[in-house]
Amino acid sequence: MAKFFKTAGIVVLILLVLVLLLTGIGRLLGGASPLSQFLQAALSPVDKLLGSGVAKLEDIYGYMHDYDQLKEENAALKARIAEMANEVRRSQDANEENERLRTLLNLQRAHMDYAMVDANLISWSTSSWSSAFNIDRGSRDGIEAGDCVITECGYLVGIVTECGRYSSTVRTLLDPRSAVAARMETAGITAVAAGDFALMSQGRLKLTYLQDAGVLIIGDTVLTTGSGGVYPSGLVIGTVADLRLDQGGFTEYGIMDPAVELASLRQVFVIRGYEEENDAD
Amino acid sequence: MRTEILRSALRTALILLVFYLLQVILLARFRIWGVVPLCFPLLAVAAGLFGGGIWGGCIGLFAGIICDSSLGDSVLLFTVLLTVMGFFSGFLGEFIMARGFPSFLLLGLIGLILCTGIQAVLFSMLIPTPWRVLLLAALKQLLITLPFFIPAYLSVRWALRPIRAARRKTTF
Repeated sequence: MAKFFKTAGIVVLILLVLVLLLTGIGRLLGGASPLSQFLQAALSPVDKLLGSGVAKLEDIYGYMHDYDQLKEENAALKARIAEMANEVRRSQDANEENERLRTLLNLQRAHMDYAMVDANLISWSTSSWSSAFNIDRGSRDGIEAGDCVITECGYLVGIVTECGRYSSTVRTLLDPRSAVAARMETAGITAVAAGDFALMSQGRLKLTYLQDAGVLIIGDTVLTTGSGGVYPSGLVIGTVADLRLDQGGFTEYGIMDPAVELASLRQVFVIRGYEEENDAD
Repeated sequence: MRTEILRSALRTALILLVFYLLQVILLARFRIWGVVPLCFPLLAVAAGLFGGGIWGGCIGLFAGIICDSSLGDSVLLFTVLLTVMGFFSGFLGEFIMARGFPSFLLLGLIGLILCTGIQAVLFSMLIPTPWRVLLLAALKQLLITLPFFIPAYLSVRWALRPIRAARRKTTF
């Protein structure tokens, strides 16, 4: 034991003196001690490595510690997002309906004589040979077969063909059985806007029985004449899209695009009654 | 046997409902080439082939009623047509043809051609239309219905499996 303290003590003492000397010299020279510089240089990579490792461990610990809380928070946020998305959707629907009703109000102001009922589209007919849909209003709401159906913008959609108590069937303009007395807004000529089976799949109509010496203008707006008493006058049917000659090459007919977008139709308005214009005036 | 009949009937009702919703909600709204597939004749034919004449006739009757109501322009035509088709496919399946997919394909095609042809003829009687236009529309309808042969076959076979199994048991 005495031997150990003798040899080891001397070594330790020498080392201590050396360190103190080196430190003292460093201090006297006014900089960091050479020993600490050496230590810093030698340990800095290890420091870095350990530092980053500890930081990562801290992250993992923090993550694990907060995981449950984050999970709950995440679930709550997801629920909130879903709720907000739902609210946005509802508000969009309400906005759309509001817009439709606002436009309808303008139409109502322009045509105070129209007695209208709003109706929602239930389903489309599955027949490839006709173009018709069902609405959620029927005779209970005062609707009758032969009533005219329009959009909030006053675009002609079709006519009620069958009327149940709670629902009705509307035949659209495109149906091959549809025919409306029409007038060109600019050209002033009259014609018949009729559904055509070949054009039905393209979503177009045919303009036939053109008034003699009449000239169709492409892009001209086609309106209802009001003759016949089924459709009120001045409703927009569509625009002239093309001019063609029949198979014989003698008779000209027009192709027109309907103003109403049937594919996106959701709500329509049934005109239950209106004041007929006096032709004598 | 009663339980099997009830199970098959319930399954068939479910299939009719699914096909009705598919046709009314989806296919009628998103028309391809401007036409809508005609699936109900396939259900009637499959029902006759797998369930026999009575099942074919009954399911054909209900399928026809649904078909007429969804088409809107054919009062009772399909109710009568599909009942007869279901019954006759049952007769053919029982005595003449094998009860497999090839027979169903053949009978289904015949049934569809018959239905589409009658629709085209009735339409041309109502509105004179060039026969080429009618033929093209009929062909489109036929083509667009072809993919529905497989779901119709599989679903009706599944629906009528309980009564077929029960029949096999009583036969042996």
